[in-house]
Amino acid sequence: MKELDLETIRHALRTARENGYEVVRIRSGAEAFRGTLDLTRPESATPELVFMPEEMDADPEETEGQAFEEIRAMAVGYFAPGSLFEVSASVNKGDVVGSIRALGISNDVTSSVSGKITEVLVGEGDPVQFGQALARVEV
Amino acid sequence: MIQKVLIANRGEIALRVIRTCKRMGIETVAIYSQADKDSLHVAAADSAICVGEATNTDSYLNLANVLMAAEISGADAVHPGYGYFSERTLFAEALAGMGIKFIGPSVKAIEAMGDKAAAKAAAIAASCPVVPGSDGIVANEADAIRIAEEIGYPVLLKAVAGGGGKGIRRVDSSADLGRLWKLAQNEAQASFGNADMLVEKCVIAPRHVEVQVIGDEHGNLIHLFERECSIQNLRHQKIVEEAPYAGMSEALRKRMGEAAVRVASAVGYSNAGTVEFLVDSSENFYFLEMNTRLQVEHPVTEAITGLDLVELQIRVARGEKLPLTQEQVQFEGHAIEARITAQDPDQQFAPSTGLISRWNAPGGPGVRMDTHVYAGFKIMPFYDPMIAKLIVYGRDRAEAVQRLTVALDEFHVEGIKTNIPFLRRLVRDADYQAGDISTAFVPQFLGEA
Repeated sequence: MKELDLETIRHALRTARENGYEVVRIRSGAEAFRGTLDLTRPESATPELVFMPEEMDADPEETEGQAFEEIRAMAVGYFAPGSLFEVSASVNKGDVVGSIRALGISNDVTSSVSGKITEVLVGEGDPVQFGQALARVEV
Repeated sequence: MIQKVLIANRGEIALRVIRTCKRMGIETVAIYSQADKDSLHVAAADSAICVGEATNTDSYLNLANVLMAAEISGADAVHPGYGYFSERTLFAEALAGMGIKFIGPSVKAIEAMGDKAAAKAAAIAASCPVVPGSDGIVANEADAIRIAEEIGYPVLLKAVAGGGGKGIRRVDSSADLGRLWKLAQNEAQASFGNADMLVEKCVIAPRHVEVQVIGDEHGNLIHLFERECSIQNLRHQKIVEEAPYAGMSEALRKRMGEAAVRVASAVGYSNAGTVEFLVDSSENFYFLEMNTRLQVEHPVTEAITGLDLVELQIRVARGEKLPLTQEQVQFEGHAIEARITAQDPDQQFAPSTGLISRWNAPGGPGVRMDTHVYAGFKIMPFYDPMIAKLIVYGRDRAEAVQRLTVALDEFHVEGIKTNIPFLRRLVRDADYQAGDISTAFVPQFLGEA
């Protein structure tokens, strides 16, 4: 736990407790932390700590009975679509759907979900920022 | 020409730089982490680019993302603020390679001052007094003991790559040195990736006095007088700073100003920088280090000189000559800055996080607030606990202290703990009011409390 040191986790837990949140999820690079707080117990009680891999994306968005998720940029740079990056294409979680070019290096963009691409939001050479939605996927 | 500036920083300093850019008609681009999306610096900029998740290493210290943000934004210059990439030569070099101007000194000057041993050598070469100590890196514990006995205890073990008060250990006798040597080395290796150490005489209860300098790219370099920064916490971090140093003789002011200019000139310095000194009770001064960036406490210099330091930084970065000579720089009155931090003074200054439910900031004549927070803003655990700078100005020190006292009393924050109650007690201390301060003040004050 280089990035997610105990101090950071403690602060996050304290913040969560003060604001009445039950679940804490922190992610830093490849490291992830998930904690569930028992808000009925006094503050001195140690929260239940679980270290587990976490997905970055929020819960799927519901629209008229269908669930959509977005494939997001995980770097800042220029986007280049891959062959799967088009409307109606079926993608599996982990499929490379394009790349982001930054400082002369090409970084793969992988799909965080499995499903069908319903909308592409960026095109060849578009500058993208971190977390920007690149495509919508019906899951 | 500089028409669009990306500010590679967060919080109050990013906002402060944006304000000057706007006044100068320069377009601004903010960067932010996902945790900072509601920060005022993001709202104030003409555009903003998200560079990563909450932690510093993922966002503000993610070199590729910050550089690419500068590129895709079309900015022709980058202001680094303080901390983060402000003193990283790699960053300045990469920007130069991309054809983007770094608003700061040259890579050569950052390098020359970034290494404490090299900086000390530069000061000696510029006939600037330095604290007696090892002539460069100390090879081993035995050498450290030999040097310490030569210059006399107490001594400080200092990490060559240290900064911000980190990587320093006081040693009072040869008996302690062995143990502390290993501890200091391990700490330095862990914190800075460099275990090289210096040994220096520990000047007892000195004042920390620093001189602001600024140079252009045509060889002109001036100083903008001093700042007194002795009020530091137990980790040697500044809490309250003022300008000028009221008790200083004109002769010392002149000697220190000239020494600062000599040191900076020796490394071909341009843009804003600060030469830090220790001053003992007999007005001996010793070069400590040079910070090759804008300082947190620069507003007190602005208050007494009437200059906008960020404006000067941008003007010299775009190739202009300094708009004033040394003789034209004057100061008037007295300014004090108090750093407001989200820390609980009743819990050993532990960081406090959460939602700010109430934020009643002080105002009135002679009061300046630099902050990126507001009621409804959430303080996250990922960043430095400083959430605001309260800067007051008065005709003299007594008036400035009165203004600070009133302003702190007026300042009400709820939802998080802050150091405001501690600052209220501090400014009421008789020694503080009399200006009888040194770097030993806070430890003593806390001991008495």
